Amino acid sequence: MKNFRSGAARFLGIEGVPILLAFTAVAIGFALAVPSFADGDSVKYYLNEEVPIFIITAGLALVIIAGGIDLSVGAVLGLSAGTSLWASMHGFNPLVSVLVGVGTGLVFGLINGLVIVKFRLSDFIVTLGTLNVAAGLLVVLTDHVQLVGTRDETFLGLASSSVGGLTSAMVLTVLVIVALHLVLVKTGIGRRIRASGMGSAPALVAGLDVGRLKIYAYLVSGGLAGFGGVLLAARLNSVQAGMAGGYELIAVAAAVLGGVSLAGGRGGIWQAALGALLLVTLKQGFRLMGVDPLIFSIITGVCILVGVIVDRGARRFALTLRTPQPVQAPAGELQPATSKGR
Amino acid sequence: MKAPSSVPVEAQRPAEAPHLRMTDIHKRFQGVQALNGVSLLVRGGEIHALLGGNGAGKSTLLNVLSGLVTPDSGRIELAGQEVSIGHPREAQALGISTIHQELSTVPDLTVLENIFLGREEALTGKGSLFVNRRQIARRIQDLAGEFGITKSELWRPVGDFGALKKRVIEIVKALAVPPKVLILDEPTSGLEEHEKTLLFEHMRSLQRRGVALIWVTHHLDEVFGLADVVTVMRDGRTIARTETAELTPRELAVQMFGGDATELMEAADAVPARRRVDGDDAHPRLRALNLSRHGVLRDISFDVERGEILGIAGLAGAGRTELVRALMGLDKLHSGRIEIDGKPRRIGHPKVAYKAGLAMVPEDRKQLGILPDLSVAENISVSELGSVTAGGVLRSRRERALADSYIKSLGIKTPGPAEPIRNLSGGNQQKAIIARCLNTEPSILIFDEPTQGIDIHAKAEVHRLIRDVAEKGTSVIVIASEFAELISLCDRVVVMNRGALVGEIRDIPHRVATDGYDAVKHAIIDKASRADR
Amino acid sequence: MITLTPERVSPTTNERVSALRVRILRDPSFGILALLVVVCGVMAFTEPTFATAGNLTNIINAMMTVSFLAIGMTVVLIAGGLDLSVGSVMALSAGVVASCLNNGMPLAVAFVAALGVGAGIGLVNGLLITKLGIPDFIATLAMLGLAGGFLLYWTAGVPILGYMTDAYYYIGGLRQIAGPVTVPMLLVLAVGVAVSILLRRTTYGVKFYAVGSSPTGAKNAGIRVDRIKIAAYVISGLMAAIAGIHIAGRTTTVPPLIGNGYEISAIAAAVIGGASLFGGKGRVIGALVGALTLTLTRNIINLTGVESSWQAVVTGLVLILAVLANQAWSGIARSIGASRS
Repeated sequence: MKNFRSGAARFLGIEGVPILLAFTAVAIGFALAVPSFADGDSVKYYLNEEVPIFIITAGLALVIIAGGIDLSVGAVLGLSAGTSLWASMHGFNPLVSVLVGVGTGLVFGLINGLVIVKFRLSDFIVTLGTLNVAAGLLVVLTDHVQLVGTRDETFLGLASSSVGGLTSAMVLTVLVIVALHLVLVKTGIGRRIRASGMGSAPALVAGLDVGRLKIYAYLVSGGLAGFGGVLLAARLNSVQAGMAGGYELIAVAAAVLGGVSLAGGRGGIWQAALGALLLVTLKQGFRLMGVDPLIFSIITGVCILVGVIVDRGARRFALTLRTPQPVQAPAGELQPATSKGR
Repeated sequence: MKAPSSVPVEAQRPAEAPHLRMTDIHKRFQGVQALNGVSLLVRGGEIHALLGGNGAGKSTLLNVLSGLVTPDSGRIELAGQEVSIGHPREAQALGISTIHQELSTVPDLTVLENIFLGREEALTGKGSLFVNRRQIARRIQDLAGEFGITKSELWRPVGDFGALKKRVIEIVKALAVPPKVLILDEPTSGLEEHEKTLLFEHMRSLQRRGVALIWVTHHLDEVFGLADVVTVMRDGRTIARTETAELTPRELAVQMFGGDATELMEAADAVPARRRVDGDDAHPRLRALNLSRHGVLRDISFDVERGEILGIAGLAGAGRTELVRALMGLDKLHSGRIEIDGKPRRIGHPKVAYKAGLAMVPEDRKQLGILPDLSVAENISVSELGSVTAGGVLRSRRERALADSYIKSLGIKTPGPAEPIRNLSGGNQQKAIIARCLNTEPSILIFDEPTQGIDIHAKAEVHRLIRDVAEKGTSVIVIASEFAELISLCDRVVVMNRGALVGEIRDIPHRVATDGYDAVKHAIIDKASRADR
Repeated sequence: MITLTPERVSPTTNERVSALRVRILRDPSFGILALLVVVCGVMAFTEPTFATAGNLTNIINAMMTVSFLAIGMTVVLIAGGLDLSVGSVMALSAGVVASCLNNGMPLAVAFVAALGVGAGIGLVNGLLITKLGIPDFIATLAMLGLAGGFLLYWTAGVPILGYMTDAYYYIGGLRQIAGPVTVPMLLVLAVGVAVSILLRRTTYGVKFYAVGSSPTGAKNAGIRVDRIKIAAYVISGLMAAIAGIHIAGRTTTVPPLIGNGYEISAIAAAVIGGASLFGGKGRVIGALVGALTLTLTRNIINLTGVESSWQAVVTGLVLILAVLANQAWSGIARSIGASRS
């Protein structure tokens, strides 16, 4: 029994396990309640639609782990969709159009990073400002009407070609998440980013270039938002003002659900992606159950709260079951390694 | 063990009932028994020293008393009546005032607001909703003035001041409403000599008025001049309660650390003076020339040779930490040159400093040293990830092996290299930070207060480590507030005062017993504290 | 030795003046205000329609909603929190007022119901954050979704109409009671003064700053940190409800998305006025200056004939520049303060 309990605790203590369990439970629940939920085509269709969420969640998670926050991802995604579609409509070749879209994101990422790091401003405020700037530029670009219709089939094919039964957009998304995950956990630069997210003072003393690492994170986040925008433009072939507004909140919610701590340094990319998967699954599931789509923001809200509370509960549970050895050092011996009684 | 009292104190002074009595206090944190049946008995008008190594449970006990921690079981009596203290507010209402070890001033509030915060009733009158700052200022300005806080300083935000002043503010805050029980958790750390003296005088004056003072300190010599009674804690238990008059320093050390500790201390003291490792060319390892930083460092020049341990002495605020921070590229230098092995180096960022062969074990381990969520292994490798990566990709086996070798060679006590470093004790965290620096293979290693807040065992080990490092040819710079520590460790000591180098002391006698010891100590104190510059 | 002398030693005039100078220098909203005065001066010369009574009244009227929200946000920021739910709470309160009136309830009952909703949501925010330890950003983000979603679901996405009464026109601010003065102007003034006194002149107010600046320090000083934080969120919720009451009366319809984006304006106004997301800083007057800045920006864009599509871009830039200016200002103020001592 004790073994089982401590085993369970260790299992729950692994990062990402609570969110994986939650997702599995929700998916099974919907599959039982609504048979059409598990239908392969509908799943594929639906996930394809939500590709941008996954991409910006990955980028945002990296920024949060690096100790920042990027509220501009949604607006930048919308603007990049606009610029890339605009480029394509004006006859630029597909590669240039993609570069324009991704470049737009990179520019915003660079500005975010530079302003936050060099002027030491609050990341929340700066990215709130660039959110407004990007959203406003999209309004200017679309001039209050929609951008519609590039005839460039290659550009459109970016999102909708079929690769092994999946759309190219989905495959690219999976690649992005896997790549970013590997960078974070398997490379020196990923380790440095995580370390500097834990606290810039000790990271600086340890010789890490904290500012530059943070700028990298914002660059990645901006570039990914740009890339997500390109995929979105390619799928819809139309862009209007206000598009992707509010995505940043869904992405933040997804990252937090996945156990990424807003305090920085804690969490991972795939866990955040799982958080996004849980959110879009709930949305789709309730839609299929005939729940009023207007209620979705309530569901998101409840979901965030429950997710955070459960996550905390699981972590605390794991802690209480761990290390039950009483501290009973014989006289004259050194203090135990895990002493809290300073 | 349950109600330890090596001397029947109550029989000697029957007239005075104990003012504070804590009996059989237990507290468990997440599987760690921090307090395991602690008892404490303090009289009014008594300075009661509370001693013990790291992790002995002193701070937890004080937190119970100041309302920050609720005990699992046990009984607290104040003036004969049982009380329960669920919040600092209730502690204050009972007349228990605390000067915490960690600075706990509020930076955005003015000095005045900090002083009256939480004591509005006592300072403005009961039930008054509105606060009259000027009136409070009038009431406390004399007390503040005694501690060198001017009237205009009362109106400035605490964030403007350094650590030293912040501690003084906390002391004034604790004294502003005269307490019945005053808890002082290492109150002298970071204070200058005259402020220590002033604080001790205040402690005596409170004692005369019948206040019960509970005083935690690591400085055994201070205990014997001031405390009436000493309670020693170890591993969450009270070991003994003894009148100071009937105690020798040696007995006290035995109580604190068990039988073998004193021998260890003496062994650490008895290390013979080391020879300096001679270099093969004319340049010193590090040469600092005319370093200046506005308002902090003034025209500082010094050399450090290969294998030399250079001590930097000085009082708090003399600019010692600022000097090494500037060397490490953490703070900007406004003028001056740094040469390493004869080559001029421009160090604008810590990253550059590490590349140039510098490394630093910082002061304030919790805030500046450890990366709390990383494992021990990750904390060790983080400054030189090149040692565990291939083509930018981490090799976890190599990282583990690296950590294991340091855990073994430095004697880091940890369940394993994958343990988050925050779970380690202070001394072992410090060793891991030292391992991190060693892993960068530095030619110059800086230690800023390397033994602050770690117990005597760990201290001796850290000292041995520093000597070993220097023995192998690395140049070492050590900052320490305890002059004794500098004298026993260093080949040469330079003294700082108000941002400038004011003296140098060579030929240091390494044993406390040596005749020249006191002379050197006084020479340092004299240079460091002279005000007429 | 420790004598608390009651004798009167009043600070010299010189000291008082310099203390005042430091306080003014330290308050970044003075810098922004100075900038606004310059901008307004330039506008008055270059744009004939700007300095007309009609336009100025427009500006003041337009800044009311954000002012209420910004005052509440400032209190939360001072206490070291963040309230993203204010826009949604404002919308929900507006909806509550409108539907109460539609159901024939008297105005007072409708107002009390709206205030109750606002305070209640603030309380829930505070409890979630302090008792369950959920980060403020997350808790209030969830509440943004909950409150906004509830209104949307409740109204089925259809605006609430036809609830206006004559008395409500006054309170909504469309009727002027004396000269250009409207009820919301008086209300902002009253609320502002009240909150300002609470923060700066009472024993209670200092605690908000203390909790935001250093929760540990505050707790050690005997402050019940949780209660102060909860109080801050309740105040913010109340302010959002007042803003909701005002906006429902002003617009005469309550579309369910009426509050969208207001949280951003509120945060922007508070931050422009010197509040910090790191807690412990901010003043009511700053919040009002911030609200004025945002409104003026919009007004100037409209008047100068800049394509209105640039509005969001300019607002974003103004936000970042204002924060930059604040920081530069406090850096200068600190160096002056330091050189004085």
